[in-house]
Amino acid sequence: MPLKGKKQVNVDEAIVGILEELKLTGDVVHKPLRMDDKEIELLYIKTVVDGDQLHQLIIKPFFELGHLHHVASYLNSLPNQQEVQSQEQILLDLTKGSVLVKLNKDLLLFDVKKVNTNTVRETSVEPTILGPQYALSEDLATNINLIRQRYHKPSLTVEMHEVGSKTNQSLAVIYDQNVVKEGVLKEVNSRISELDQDIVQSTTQLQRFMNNRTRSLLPTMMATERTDRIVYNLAGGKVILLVDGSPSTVIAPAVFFDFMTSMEDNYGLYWVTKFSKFLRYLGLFACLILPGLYVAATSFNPEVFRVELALSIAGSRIGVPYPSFVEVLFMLIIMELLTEASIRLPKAVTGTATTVGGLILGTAATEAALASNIMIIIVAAVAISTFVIPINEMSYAIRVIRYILLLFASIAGLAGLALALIGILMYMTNKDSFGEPYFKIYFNQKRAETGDNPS
Amino acid sequence: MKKRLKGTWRAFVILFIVGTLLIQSGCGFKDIDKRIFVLSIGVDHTDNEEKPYRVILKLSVPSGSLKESGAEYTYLIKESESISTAIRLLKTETDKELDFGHAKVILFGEEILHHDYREIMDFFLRRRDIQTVSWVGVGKPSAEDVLTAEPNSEMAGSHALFNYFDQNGVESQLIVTTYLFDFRRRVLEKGIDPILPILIAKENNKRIDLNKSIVVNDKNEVLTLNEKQTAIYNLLTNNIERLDIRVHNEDVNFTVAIDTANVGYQLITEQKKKPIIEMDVEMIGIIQEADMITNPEKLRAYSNATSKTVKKDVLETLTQFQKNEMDPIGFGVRYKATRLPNNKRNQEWQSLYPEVEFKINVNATLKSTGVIE
Repeated sequence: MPLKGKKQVNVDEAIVGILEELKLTGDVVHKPLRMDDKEIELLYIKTVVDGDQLHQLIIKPFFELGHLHHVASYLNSLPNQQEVQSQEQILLDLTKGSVLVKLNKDLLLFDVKKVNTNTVRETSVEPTILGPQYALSEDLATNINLIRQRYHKPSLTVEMHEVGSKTNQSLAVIYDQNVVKEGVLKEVNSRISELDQDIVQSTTQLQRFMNNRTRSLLPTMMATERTDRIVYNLAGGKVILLVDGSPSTVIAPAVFFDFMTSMEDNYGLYWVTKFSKFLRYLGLFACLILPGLYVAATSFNPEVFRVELALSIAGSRIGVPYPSFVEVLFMLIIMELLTEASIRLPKAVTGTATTVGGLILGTAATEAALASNIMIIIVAAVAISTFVIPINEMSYAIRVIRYILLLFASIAGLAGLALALIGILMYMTNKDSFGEPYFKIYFNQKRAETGDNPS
Repeated sequence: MKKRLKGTWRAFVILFIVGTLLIQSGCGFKDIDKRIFVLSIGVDHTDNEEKPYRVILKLSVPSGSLKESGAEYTYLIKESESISTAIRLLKTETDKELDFGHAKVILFGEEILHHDYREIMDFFLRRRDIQTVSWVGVGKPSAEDVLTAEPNSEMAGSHALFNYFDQNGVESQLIVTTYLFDFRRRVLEKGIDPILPILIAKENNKRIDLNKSIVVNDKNEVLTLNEKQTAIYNLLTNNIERLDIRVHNEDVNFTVAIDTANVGYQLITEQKKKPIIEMDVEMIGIIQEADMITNPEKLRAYSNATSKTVKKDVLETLTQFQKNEMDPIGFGVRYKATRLPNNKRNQEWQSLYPEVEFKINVNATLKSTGVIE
């Protein structure tokens, strides 16, 4: 829509005002086009505008069309025309890649954005053997396209918001109108409107900003890069949040058991997936309680396990100078450092770090009598089983919880361990994610829980 | 903002203090390498009036390479007026904390059974760190000899005495297993008497024999059961399902391997009639060894011969129990449990038991002669 009801003077003033705002920017282009008695003016920022498209869409037709009012009707019927509301809005859109056209006494705005981040990447965080191999891109439009490609339903709704008072990133809220839970949607929207952050760069950041707490341990929204997971959750009535420029989405609400599900569970055979699910929960318990259990068994309740085990632990601890919990802490911290290092290091160096670390963890620590043999096995088991948890954020949270259990086990042995486990269970049951109980055990059929009634 | 910072600071300080507390060596944090495990406890009776008990503790010394050097044992022995005193004194003889958590075998010298073994039993029950699933037995010639015996078959890291009892190692019709809790129940309950396995150290303490058992009654009288009686006891209490029976018949001798056995009994007491215990023994097995050529068509005859032998053996054993006023099977408990209480059932049974008549029905079924002909 052109700026109607304003005089020509105002349009010229507006252009002057905009140029004044942008005068320090080197990549601003202000170009009048003239042919015979036709004349339009273009104003855009060169670096965010797709030159080819601009040429095809505006410049070429201008010279081909016979009369100015042909040009006007052509431009006014272009589908990527944007609404013009105020000078500030024009400025904002110019920075996003729009072109301002002055036609007669009107200002027209066209979206000819150039996007370099729309390559779809392969899944790297949650790889599966079966199932789609491509994840999302870093461009919002491409991502929405990817989701729509997999979810053909007219009820799929995309609401656009803007977040970040400085960066003005677009945020898309995607849900299926028919199955979404009203309460959750309302809650999500109200929290988005309450956001007052200067910069929001990643979708996963929203997770922290939106949970209404300064400190939290367990994630209440699930970050994922897998389009099949997104579609699966959309169909289950959840809300998907997507920030422009971020290759992952967050899904709300998310309960504990969501984090233990891999998309592969839907693709494999029944008993195979049941087995891998069982393995995953086994891994969860192993990495949670093994360190605490070791401390409890060596320092408090050696009678709980077999006498052979007690003797063999006692034998392998000969010469270890510090009490068991220091030993466990020491080995666990080294293991965490190793994990942390292999995530952050450039890929070329990672190999070296893990090899050196593996050597230290493996044999040298026992040779030097800093840790017992059994401790090494436990650390290895813990390290491996941490990675069994499919969603990264949950496995980070479990890593932290492990230390809490270790602390209580070193204070009160097996009783402390059991108490701490109960405490964590209570913490989890007390939590909720956007109004949904976090630790709810779903006894009902999936259809009844998601409210997905075929109609 | 300032307030929040203060809170974080305080939490940090508290965590730090707790952290340093944990590292203090004086906090009584007893690691497994500061403990020494007592594997079995033996109590012998001395003839000394002042110090009647001789307590033997078998300790396991952990070694770094369990597989190569094997388990090493060490023994602590003390005579004292009570077991607690002895253990208190023994504590000072090691540099480590004595841990009774794995003390799973408790042995008494036979002499103890003639004295007041109830007080000793009490000690083991009251100590919370001794598990009541410990096995109780009688050592011969003394508990000390059996405990210090190191059988040649004992492997590194596994205690031979445990293997005898825990059914993971040897399984035999001749081994009676009595748990500490069961022993206590049998001692305190009227109508059932404790039975203990007898462990005999032989050949310079290089071998332990355990194929006899001993029954103690309320009057501290003991009855030693030989191999056959022990096997019959195990059969009658359904402790075992597999057993061998040697059948001596007029013309044939053979051994039967039973693999399924089931025993049930009923007490029949009618007014003015002799009380009857009717016992049904069901057995299924095969012939394992014979001194003649077995004929599959005569299986029925062999079965009957087996039944007859078992019937005779069971009757002999039960009669001997009756004669000695012993009741390890618990007929008295069954009597009390199946009659309405009138506070006199114990005395009633006392007078009934000597008159009881045993009616034994044995139904042995031989499935095969064990060979293909």
